[in-house]
Amino acid sequence: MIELLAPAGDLEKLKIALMYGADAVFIGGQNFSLRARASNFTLDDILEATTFAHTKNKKIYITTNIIPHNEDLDGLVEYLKALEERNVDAIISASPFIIDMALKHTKLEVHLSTQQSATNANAVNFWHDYGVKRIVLARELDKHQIKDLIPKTNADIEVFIHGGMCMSYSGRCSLSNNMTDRDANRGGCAHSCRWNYELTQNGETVSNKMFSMSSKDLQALEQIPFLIEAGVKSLKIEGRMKSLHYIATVVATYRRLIDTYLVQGEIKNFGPFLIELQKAENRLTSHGYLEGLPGINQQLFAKKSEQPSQLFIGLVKDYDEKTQIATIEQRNYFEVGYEIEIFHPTGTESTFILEEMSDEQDEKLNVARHPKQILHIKVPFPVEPYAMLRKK
Amino acid sequence: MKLLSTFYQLKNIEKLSAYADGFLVGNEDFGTRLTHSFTTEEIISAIHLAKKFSKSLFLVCNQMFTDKMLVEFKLWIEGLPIIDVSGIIIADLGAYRLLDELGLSKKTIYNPETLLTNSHDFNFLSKNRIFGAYIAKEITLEDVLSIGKKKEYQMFMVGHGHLNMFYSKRQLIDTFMAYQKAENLYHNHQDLKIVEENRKEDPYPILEDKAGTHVFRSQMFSSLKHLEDLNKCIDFLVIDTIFKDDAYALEVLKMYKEEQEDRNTIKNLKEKYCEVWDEGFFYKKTIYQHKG
Repeated sequence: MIELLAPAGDLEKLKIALMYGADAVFIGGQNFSLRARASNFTLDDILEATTFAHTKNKKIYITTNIIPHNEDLDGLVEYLKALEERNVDAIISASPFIIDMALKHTKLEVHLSTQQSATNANAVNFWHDYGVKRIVLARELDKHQIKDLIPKTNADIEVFIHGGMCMSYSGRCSLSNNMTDRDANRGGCAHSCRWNYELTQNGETVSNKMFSMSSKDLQALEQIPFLIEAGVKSLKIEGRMKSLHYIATVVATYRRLIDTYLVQGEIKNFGPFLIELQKAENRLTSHGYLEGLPGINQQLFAKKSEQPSQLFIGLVKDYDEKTQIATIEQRNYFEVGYEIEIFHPTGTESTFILEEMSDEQDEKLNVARHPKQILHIKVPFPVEPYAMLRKK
Repeated sequence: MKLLSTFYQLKNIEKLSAYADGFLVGNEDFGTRLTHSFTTEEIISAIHLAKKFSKSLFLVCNQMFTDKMLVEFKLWIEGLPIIDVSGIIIADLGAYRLLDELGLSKKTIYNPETLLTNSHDFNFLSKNRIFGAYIAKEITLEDVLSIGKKKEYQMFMVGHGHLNMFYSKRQLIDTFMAYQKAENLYHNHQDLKIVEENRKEDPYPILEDKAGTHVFRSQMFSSLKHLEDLNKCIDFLVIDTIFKDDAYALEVLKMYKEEQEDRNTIKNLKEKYCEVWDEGFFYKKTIYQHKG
């Protein structure tokens, strides 16, 4: 069965990812993990995460994917044992030391991080023979190379399908180290590749336009059927620092696409899935390397390509069927009279016109302008906790 | 500690042999960030020349390989007089596995650039009986020496040169030129730099070759002041002369061989090649940014 694997930066996002259709979630602990700016999980959080996931028959993977220096090695075995005690389903690692310690001192399943940039069957089999069960392939392979590689190995293969792209081979870049003293392989990547540069030859400017090494984000909707048929075991969404709404939207879209394909055997029209995906706060996207070596259409030349979204206006906390009153948490500005779309964890949507709204003291409001404010609104159909409100 | 050097022209091997203990040579089909892509025939000549002058000769095959490239790599290796090759430098464990199948694990040198940053990871291929590995460039001198004390095979280090800090498979200059609807006249040019808008004092050499695009540190890393320490653990110190020439190699090799900081030579080199020397990460710890 194909796995949809999602990121999460905190417990709320983790629950959202699982409720909106992820089969597994990867998270960072407070030690040995990249993405230091993501709100990494304590051991207590990890226990809550695995307990929540396992009741839904889903999985939790912990990233222990730093490339450690000598001074970073203390406490590793204790930490790995603590993860094992909290029933995590696997760790994702790149350092042979971390992998060795996990294999020697625990029964944890080990997945090879893309930081090792496995680009061929030989490399995959090297790590599989080493004791690693699953390999996260380098993003630099096209879909045909992935398909050809899979029959040559017994390792489970995981492939990135959505999210940010390292411009360099992952793990082999020290731009950030050199330009900001922040170690990219120990969680400090400053994304220096996304900055603006001037290209010069012998000191003379080559172009009046800024040179860019920045990539569009990966988006592989149209490649999903091919990857499923190729035998990929896990389809991975990147972005542990992304918002709740982003995770819900992206996960639900891919979930619906995968399920549709598995039932119908084909996807006749990718359009509705693309429209749905665009409701998330994506940077501009492309298929990355999946259709071959990236060219001009996979590259970003403007300084920023964030597509900020005001669509996400609230998160459902509770619903009273008798009164039809939903308790929600405000996330973006909205007003009485707006047409609102409820985005359900099942991936379905329904709409209504907001007719009345009040605060926690039952004071009537016409405008919701305070982030995180708890509000009561009338919704003429049942909604479940963690459903999201979007402005139509 | 042996001194290895890259070079641009075969004819200069003899001259450089006065100070170098060995040479690095590669072809663009399998190697990257090369001073020059030598043809197979030239590489065979280099192997013979090195043998003639009793020097080591290492093949630089440091690209990341696809399955198809590994097939081609195997054929290429099988066509070389590999018995006279001292070692094969690879960056990809898939290539190691291939070399092992060919009975060449003892000639394998693993250079994943950034990944070997602690004692255990540096030695992790010791049971595979490889020849050696490159220590990562982004660690302190203290860490180099500490890892060196526990090394289980030959330790290589880039001792002098523009250290690489970015390796993308993308042809980024070609794409940039396409974006401007201009012809790419800059592929494989060694005279290009990129300047970050807030770091204008630090132009970074950039190279687009067959393997992709590479960005290098602006300063010239030099370990000349630390040879006494490095002698304790480094087996092969590499002088990487990319962006320079063989005259530069000769001057630098002489100083490293004689373990002499010749101030006049250094001053002249800095002026002639417009370069600033520094000590990389030897005394600069990068931050393990645990929080925020």
